[in-house]
Amino acid sequence: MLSEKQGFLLALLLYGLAALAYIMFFLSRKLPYSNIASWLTRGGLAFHTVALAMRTVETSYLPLTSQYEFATSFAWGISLFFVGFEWRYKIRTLGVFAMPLILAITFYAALQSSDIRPLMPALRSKWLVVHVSTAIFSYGSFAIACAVSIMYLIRGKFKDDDFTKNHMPQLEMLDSISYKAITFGFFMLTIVIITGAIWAERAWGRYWQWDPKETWSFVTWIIYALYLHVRYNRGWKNKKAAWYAIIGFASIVFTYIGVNTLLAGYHAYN
Amino acid sequence: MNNQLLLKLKFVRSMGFGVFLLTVILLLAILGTMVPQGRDTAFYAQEYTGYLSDLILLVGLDHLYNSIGFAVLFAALALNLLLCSTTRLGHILKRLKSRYEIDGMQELDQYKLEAEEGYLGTPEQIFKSFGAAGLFRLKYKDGAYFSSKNTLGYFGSWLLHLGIFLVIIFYIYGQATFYTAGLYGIPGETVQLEGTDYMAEIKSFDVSYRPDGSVLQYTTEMNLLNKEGSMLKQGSTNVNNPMRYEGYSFYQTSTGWAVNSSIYKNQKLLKEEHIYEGSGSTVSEENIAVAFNKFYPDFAANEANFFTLSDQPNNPVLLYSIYYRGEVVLMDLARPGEDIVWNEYQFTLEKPMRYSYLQVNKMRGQMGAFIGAMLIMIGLALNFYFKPKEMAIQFKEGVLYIYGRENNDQNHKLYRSYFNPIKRNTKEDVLDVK
Repeated sequence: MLSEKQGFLLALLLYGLAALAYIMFFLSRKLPYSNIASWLTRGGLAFHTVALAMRTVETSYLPLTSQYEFATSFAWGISLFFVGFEWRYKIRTLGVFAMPLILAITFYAALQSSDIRPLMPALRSKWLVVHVSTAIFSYGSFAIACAVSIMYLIRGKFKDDDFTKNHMPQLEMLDSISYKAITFGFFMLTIVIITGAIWAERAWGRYWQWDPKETWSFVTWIIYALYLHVRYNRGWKNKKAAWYAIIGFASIVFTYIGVNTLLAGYHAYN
Repeated sequence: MNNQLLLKLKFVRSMGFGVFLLTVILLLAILGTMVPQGRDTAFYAQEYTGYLSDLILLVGLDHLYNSIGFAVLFAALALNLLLCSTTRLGHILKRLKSRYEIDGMQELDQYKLEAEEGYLGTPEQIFKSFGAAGLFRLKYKDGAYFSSKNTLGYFGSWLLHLGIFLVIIFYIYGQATFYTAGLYGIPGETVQLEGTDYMAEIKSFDVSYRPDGSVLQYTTEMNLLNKEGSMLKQGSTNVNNPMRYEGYSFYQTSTGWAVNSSIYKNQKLLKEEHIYEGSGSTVSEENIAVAFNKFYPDFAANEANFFTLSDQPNNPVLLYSIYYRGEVVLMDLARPGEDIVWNEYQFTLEKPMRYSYLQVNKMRGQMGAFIGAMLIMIGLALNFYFKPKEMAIQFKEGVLYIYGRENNDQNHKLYRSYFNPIKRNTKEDVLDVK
């Protein structure tokens, strides 16, 4: 039977091949590459899901507690959203921009220690599951918004030929997809912050104490809140909005990796 | 109200001002994570160059999140939200009131049909043919049929802003009235809770382990007593499950080791007390003190370090220091109960036991902040996923007109796109209704 490690490595391999196939598709403009890439991604996601399930069985808790566990779950979340968005909107070129993100985070997970460590008392809480799993969906959704926004920014640089028409949606459509991904991510991020506050009150005695992780989640929330405001009221639906979505995701990456590695705080469970 | 005041109010409630405040808060919040918060002055002097260290302390960057300036920014944001929400409520109610009026609606399409009203079927069937089936409410007024859906969605943004307002207000209130105190105790000890009439009697402190030796849970059994010693509450607290009483929450925060310390001079007992790791016992009149620096329950050593193999007292050793007139005169390792002698003084550090450290907090306004958080969630759900949709149909001289209401608060293009697929199928569907 497949072990967690084997499943994870297979997922990493398939994601890598998928990224390569998407790039080949983009460069050669041959559709079969995109079909192969799509199936490789789905295969990678399937193995990734099996790996996470195996680890859950082995540890008896959801893999959301260590740097490795969150990174692999984070990559899984982006992969899930990517497969969903690709299926829903039939955008073949999305993989060119989303797969490198998935691959980078999966690779980052591979660099972390995957040792199974006993759960410390502070993490033995039902709030952990809601708090961290919603974070995965939120971050996954923001990652897709970032990938779509990168597409938006470079879309204008391509000639409007058959390939572009068929495989790169119009700017308005890209903007709309990015917006939908951000609204979902923002909704989830709000749940992340609220459940985190409830849990913090039970575990640390205060629902908000400006721990660096809390603060950076708040910073990310404000960035996306500003995005939504200027979009609603000032009609930012162009390059500015796309840049905002990219900056927002940079903040997500810093909240996840930067805060854990550069700033000390209550969230330093790794 | 004079014009200037009106202008000021308009500015304070404006989205521009709100965005400005959010941007400043955002930048300050980031800055606060770059400068370690709440450390000693010496820390900043050591970590930063003289000029920078002085600047940090001068502008209060060392306690940015608890500064008055930061609170003022949030208070200003709360005011902005309050005024904005109040104004917005009027607009929403007005919008709801005018739901069944063609005025203000935009004509989306019109079809010349050689038929009388009725040929196309009932209004429900017509709306259905336009994709507006089922969930739409139907109303006839002034010669037109109106259908609407998700009207609660109009309140989404308003509830969201109201929720944020409540969270800010109750957070500031909670911070301003926040009570916190630490409670150290070993089993059998009764400790006064600082600044209150309460006393905590520590009945037991238990550390439970998994088979692999890792800690599963820390649990303190305790009684809460009033100043007369009468029981107020009996309970337990462990990590993630605080004991609560009258707004006070008792958190299992930490643990460590304590020993029974005795100081003798020429065999005569001078002082006996419990001391905690990192603290000491002093006899002031003799200028003598003993410090319990560190405890190694399962002592081991290598060339570079002392360390403990586990937190089980398998091989207990403690590190102590003796102070005389403020100077360290002796520092060494000893086993619990071992005699430590310096000149005519004798010291004993014995009976190592775990102590429990509880943090006791009382934060007011938590329920208000929670209600605010729930309103934020409801507001977001309504705003994102319950977008109001309104349609109207009207026959005038054999022509079917279709109207929809543009909602300026919503995402204009997306809202319009809802109607686009309807328009594409219209003519055939309408004619098929019968």
